[in-house]
Amino acid sequence: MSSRSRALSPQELQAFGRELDALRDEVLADVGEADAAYVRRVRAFMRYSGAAGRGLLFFGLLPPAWLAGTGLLALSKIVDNMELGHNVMHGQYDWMQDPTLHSQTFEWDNVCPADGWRRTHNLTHHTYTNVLGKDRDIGYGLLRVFPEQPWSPANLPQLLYAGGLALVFQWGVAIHDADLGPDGERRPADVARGLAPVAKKAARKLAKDYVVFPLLAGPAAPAVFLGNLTANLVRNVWAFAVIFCGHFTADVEVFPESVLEDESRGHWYVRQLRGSSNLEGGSLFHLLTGNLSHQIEHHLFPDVPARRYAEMAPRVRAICDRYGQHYNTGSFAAQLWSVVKRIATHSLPSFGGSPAPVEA
Amino acid sequence: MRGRPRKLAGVARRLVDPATLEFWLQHLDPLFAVERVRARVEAVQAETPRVRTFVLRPNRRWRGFRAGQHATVTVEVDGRRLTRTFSLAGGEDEPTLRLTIARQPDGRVTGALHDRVRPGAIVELGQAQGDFVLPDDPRAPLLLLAGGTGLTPFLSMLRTLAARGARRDVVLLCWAPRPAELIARNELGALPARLPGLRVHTAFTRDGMARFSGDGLRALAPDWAARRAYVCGPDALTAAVAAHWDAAGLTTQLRREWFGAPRAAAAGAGPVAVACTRSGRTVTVPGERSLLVELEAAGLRPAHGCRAGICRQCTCTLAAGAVEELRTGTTRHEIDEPIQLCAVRARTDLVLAV
Ligand code: FES
Repeated sequence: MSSRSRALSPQELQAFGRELDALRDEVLADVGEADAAYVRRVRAFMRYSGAAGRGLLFFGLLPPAWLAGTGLLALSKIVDNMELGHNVMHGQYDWMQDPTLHSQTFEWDNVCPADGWRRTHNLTHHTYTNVLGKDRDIGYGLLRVFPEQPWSPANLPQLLYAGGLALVFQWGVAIHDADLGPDGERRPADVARGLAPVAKKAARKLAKDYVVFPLLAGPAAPAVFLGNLTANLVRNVWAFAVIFCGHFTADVEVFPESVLEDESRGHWYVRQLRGSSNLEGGSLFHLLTGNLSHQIEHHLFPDVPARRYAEMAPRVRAICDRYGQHYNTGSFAAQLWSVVKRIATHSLPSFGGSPAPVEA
Repeated sequence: MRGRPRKLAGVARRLVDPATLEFWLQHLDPLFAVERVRARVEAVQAETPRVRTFVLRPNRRWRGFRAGQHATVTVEVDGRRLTRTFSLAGGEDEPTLRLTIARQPDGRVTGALHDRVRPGAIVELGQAQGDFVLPDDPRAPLLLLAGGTGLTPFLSMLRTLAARGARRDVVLLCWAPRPAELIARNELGALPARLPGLRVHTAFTRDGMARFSGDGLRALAPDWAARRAYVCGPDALTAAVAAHWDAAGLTTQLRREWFGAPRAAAAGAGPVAVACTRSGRTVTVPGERSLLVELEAAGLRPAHGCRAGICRQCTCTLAAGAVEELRTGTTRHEIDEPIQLCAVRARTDLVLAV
């Protein structure tokens, strides 16, 4: 695979890393009251919109109330998972020392238990981003999205798998990796142990959305049931689209495991950059993506409050330009289309190619 | 009256997570909390130019205190919840709590308390702690030595005794820089009338009057050695007093309360002791490499993941002490501050929730 970025000398890698470190430190030094107030506003919005949505769904036999209620609930779940849950669990707000916004204890409205997420996402995915054989988010163990992945005939209909995964994305995330032992092997005992917390969490979430709230609504029970189902589906598809656009667009790269040996900080930064892609849009769009529209900044600085990515992005881009590193960004439509093309292309076998080196 | 809401809260707690419950119920009652002690500031009174008393009404999670104990106060400064410990100054039986707090030079928390906390504000408290309390024997004669706002635990004791109409043989010696900086000055003048057996002596260190000395002590309280003694105040005072009692072989007769936080100041090179509250073990580490590496070398198994500062799996809370971030050299020493074990090294003795 060719790269749109040039390979850097060890000295350049070091300097590149230092510039990004300096940017990170500068922004972190400025983080404070405004960021704390922001994350609390986001949480209040999530709770108010969720309550309003569930309240409106009690009148869900009236179509406008059903539509508005479902929309608000979907919005609340999206904000809960993305701008709030995902970011809080990265430790972006640990500095507040607020136990209700602490990375290691936060729970979210998702069938994936937060503990499992912290392990598979924060640890595996963010440490080994786009390293083949290590980052298990590459195609989620289901799709072949890079030519470096082995092909089998089972990949032929994978565009359909992707569509299915989009609908049940939270379930995919929940069981993804949950059944692996600490060494990454899958044994029957590990499967049982890993899936038990998922089952427990899922039972709670299912009971809430599909039993308790419909029952509370009395005659409107079917409307509530359907509204909750729709809200969960909307959240799933949205999260799927945003996340796939962050890592599986046209120019993102994968890396062999060998890059991990004695990897320097500068090299780690370059790997994060080349493994991620951004989405352009307005501030509401950024909020709804949990600022994963700034996937590049997020992967470079996973514990910087995400609302700061927008101000960091032009400076990251300027640094990348100076070092000849491709800064992969585009509109949501264009990036999504490139993801669809990528999944379609790699459903067929490919020939030749090897990962581009980061270091000259 | 109290039983039913508590039971309801108990049921609700199992269905809804406490943070969500608090979010909604605080719309009705800003003091509501499932476990935490929240308190409303009822009044703020100036004691001296540098010292203010905050009168607080806590919610029902507050379990009371004994005169002389201290509690933590948590306020938000620049978006961060910062915690400091203060002695409770009011009497045990008062319906409200009193905290008498001096503004510290560069003190972020005391500065915020003085500048921003007004009546109506909500602060968070920890439960009362400490064994700096009166002896169980009500006849034991007492000697109380106070420097500056070190007077606060003694005010609590004396206010409690006075309100209960107790008779007690008490000698109180207090030092302040000058008369205008003596807290509760009027009350100190009036207390002996309400508390027979109390003698108060004040000394002003900036007006040429003596600091603590053995001779001064003998002049004011010839029977000092026969009294149960308590000292609270700046390090210089408590150290001088402790040395005097030690020299007389009476170390166990003296109780000493520190205040102010010399946490970060004590940083030095060399091995440090790390007390791990979860595993209940205390180990000695060199303080050179990351805490994760050094704790592992000492035989502990702290949770971790990437070992590179990315995943936060190694995050734990720093209950006491100071650490240094390896990459930036920044010192971290806030109470309950979350630190990443793989990214910091120890600078002082530590207490860690590991
Ligand atoms: S082990 Fe991953 S942040 Fe410390």
